[in-house]
Amino acid sequence: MKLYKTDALVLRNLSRGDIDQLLVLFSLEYGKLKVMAHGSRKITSRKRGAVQPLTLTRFLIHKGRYLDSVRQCEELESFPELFLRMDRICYASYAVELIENSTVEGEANQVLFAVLVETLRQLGRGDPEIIARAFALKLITLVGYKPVLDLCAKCRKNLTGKALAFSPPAGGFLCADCARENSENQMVMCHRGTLETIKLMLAWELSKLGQLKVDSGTRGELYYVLKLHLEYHLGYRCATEMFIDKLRNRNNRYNTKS
Amino acid sequence: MKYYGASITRLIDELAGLPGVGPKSAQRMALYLLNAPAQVTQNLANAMLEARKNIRYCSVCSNLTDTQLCQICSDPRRNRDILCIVEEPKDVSAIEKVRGFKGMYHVLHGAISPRDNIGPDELTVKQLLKRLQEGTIKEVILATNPNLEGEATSLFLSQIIKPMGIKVTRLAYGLPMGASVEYADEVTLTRALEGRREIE
Repeated sequence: MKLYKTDALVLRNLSRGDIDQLLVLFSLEYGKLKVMAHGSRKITSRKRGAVQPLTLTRFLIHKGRYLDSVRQCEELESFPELFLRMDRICYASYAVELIENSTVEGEANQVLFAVLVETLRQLGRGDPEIIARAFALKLITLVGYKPVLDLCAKCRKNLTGKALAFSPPAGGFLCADCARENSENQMVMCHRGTLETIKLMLAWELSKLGQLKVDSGTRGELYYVLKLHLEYHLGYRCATEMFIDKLRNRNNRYNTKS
Repeated sequence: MKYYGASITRLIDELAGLPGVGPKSAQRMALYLLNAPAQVTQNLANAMLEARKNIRYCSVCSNLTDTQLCQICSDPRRNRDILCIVEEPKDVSAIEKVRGFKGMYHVLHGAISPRDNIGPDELTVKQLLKRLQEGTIKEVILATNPNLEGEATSLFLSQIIKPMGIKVTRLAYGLPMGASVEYADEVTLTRALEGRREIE
């Protein structure tokens, strides 16, 4: 009998039949895994609480011929503060969706695992939007898509001036001259403040980000920079991001009406 | 399935498309239907077509019904002050089975899911708000499932219902019958302790 143990964060659980669930895990030792949790939807199942999404769990897994299955599991941390606010739920979902779509099954990334767990802790304490953006920046750095931040990605000269641009095909920020030449490509115009915020977000630990004050203009530019960069490199549009946009538009619509 | 004729193969394929039915089960069902008396197959086909043709959403609660108003909404003995919000029609039947609730229902037909980009506009939230604005409902019970999507839905609904001056409650969390304290998760155990009751 082949059994292995691992600590993993439950990214998603998909119902299979009446009582089973297919779990998508991000584990410390084996990276992304898909395992079956038999009987975990039964009301009296001992696995039930430990296989909920956004739960850090210690798993004992049986290696199957086609699909591995959960033998035992014990909840280590459940991040209950996330479930108290809608924006925290949304940005936690954003973080796990990015992990699921940017990692390969069976490839461990222990640093990324630690960053994800710390992100879920901080999302329950700090500004969820800022924590989530910092997480996305750390993630793209750890999976190898870190944008060029110190020099112009095209001409390799120092980035001078207040007006800059960000271009995913070029691989980072562009100076004003290169931005003018590059106008036909996917690009977002932004201020130097956004670049400096990105640098701080990458340099600082997530627990310190509560001290970072980000104005609404920079938040907006950060949103477009990350959206373009993730779409370009990961090749898909984040569903949770679309959901957050939809909810924001809905709230704006209702606020305008009232 | 090339061993069978084209019509049996089609029947097996159609049955295998149903949720929870694998190819072997589909084959077993198809062969049963072919060996059963013609009336059995005819009744099944008629029942499916009739249900498909007649079933619609109740104009008040959005539950499945074959009339304009469902049985619960047209029952004058029900308490119209309390509204229980559930995700699916099967949740109405689960609550009705315990016979402890005599209020009205509203079926959302799903739950808010950020991961699947399912927002309030994809559910029957618009109909719910219209119903609440009529002013007869005094209390809303959020009976969505205690999972990520259910929690997101109840948070969203409580945010929009509370400003309307309506009391909003959520189904209690606790240990189910037959479970053991040892295996209870942190959230359930914490909330079960918070909501403990004195033994009468």
